[in-house]
Amino acid sequence: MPDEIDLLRAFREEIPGPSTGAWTRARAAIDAARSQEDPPGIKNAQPRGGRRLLAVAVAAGVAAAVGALLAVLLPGPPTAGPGSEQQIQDAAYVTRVERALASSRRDDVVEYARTVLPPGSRVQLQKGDMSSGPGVSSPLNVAVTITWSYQGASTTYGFAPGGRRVFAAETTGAAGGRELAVLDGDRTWWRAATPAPAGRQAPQTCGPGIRIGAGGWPAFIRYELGCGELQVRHPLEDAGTVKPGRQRVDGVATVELTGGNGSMLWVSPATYLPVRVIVGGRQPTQIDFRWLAPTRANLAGLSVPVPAGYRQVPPP
Amino acid sequence: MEGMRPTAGEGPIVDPAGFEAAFRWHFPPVYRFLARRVGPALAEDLAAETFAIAYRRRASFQPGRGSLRSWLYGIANNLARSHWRAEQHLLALDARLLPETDLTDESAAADQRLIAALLAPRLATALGHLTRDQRDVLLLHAWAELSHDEIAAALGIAPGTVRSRLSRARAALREQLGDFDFDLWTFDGPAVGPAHEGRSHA
Repeated sequence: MPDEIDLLRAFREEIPGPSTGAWTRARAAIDAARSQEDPPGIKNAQPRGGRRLLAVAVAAGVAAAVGALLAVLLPGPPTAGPGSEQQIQDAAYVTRVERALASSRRDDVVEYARTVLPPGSRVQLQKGDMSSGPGVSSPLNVAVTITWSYQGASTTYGFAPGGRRVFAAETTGAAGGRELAVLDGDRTWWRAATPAPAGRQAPQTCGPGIRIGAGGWPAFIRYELGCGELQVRHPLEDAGTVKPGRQRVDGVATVELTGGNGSMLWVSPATYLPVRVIVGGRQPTQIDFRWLAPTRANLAGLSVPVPAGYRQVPPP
Repeated sequence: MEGMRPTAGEGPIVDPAGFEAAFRWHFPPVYRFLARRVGPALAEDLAAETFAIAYRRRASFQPGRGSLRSWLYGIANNLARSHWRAEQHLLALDARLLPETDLTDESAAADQRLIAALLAPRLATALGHLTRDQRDVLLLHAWAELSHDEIAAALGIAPGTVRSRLSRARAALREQLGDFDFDLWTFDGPAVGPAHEGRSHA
């Protein structure tokens, strides 16, 4: 006779097996674990990266240290084939960047992101969400956004092609919080409670807030401004590999990772936090990051004052 | 897709080929076990972490102490335990679901899936009220389909403890199901109450 165990076995039985992304993620995690193991015979012959960095830093200064660290981190010319040293290194990079991003959300770090949108982009502000891009229907013509994020709170400022501010939007980024939008074009503002996530499929690490990158952009990253989240999973899913290189971005030495669709990510070789991201193929979007201490000046960007004379309107 | 049956699903895992075979064989069920407990999004992370941990500790796996799958489920279960709130939240959501089917059709009444869907809020409520230890044993038994000995190996407890915890968990489940008649596969109606989200147990 059937019993309660049979009922329980049918409970949530509809949940499917692992997706391609889940397989890829697991393989990357295993590869990262494998890469952390010292190959036989290497352990005593080659100091670990941190030790080498320290030695070089003492001997030749910080600039040389950065170069030495890159030399340790960067693999040789890419080699093909599954399970190759190159693939292991690639997976290790992705894992390190993921960990750095996860750590940045826990640590006391202010994230500054300057996004240059494709020409003709518009931004739509509405309760619980913000979408942007060339295909968005909105009167807000925006060329650049600047976002400050800190411990779940986030504020985005939008600027027209001429540099004039178009809007400012503040959100706590969590259910039960609040959102505030100031629209400079018609001198209005609105406030709303952050709605609860809809359904169980809502991201668990991120409340509803401002999202850029949704809507099918051919990006190799998913960048969730609302929760200060940048996920670097997609390159492995889309392209199967990333190609570490090296480049200076605004004078800063970075490690360059190339993903699918011509998307690129530059990370700091010291922290693995992103310095720059370019996504979107023919209509690229560039995001520059800075990871800052939570000083009063850096936190000031999170608050949006409503200018005098602006009229309050209901949220859309 | 990748779930081909390897010949070495329970074989040595120290060498790369053995571990790869074990990964291909055991990853889908371990992922599904985690997805049913904490949801697909978090399960992706936890399943990946399960096999990363397994890789790092593969030399410590001793076949004489239990099967490979019980060892893997032990790792997965520990990771799921560390996300108690997420699991409770998911159960609370399921407990609030309104049943979408009724059992007026006799042929449908024999379908365990339909009945489970109808009883999902009650099942979720019952699971939400179990202690962590009871839930671990119950779900390893029902979803991972581990034997008592395998559960004991996975959790590092005595088989007798497994049996007593499982017995109490099943009794709690039956109590929550209330008027459900297991002989006839019917019950009087969906008297559904929400689970208590965030309730903590030792």
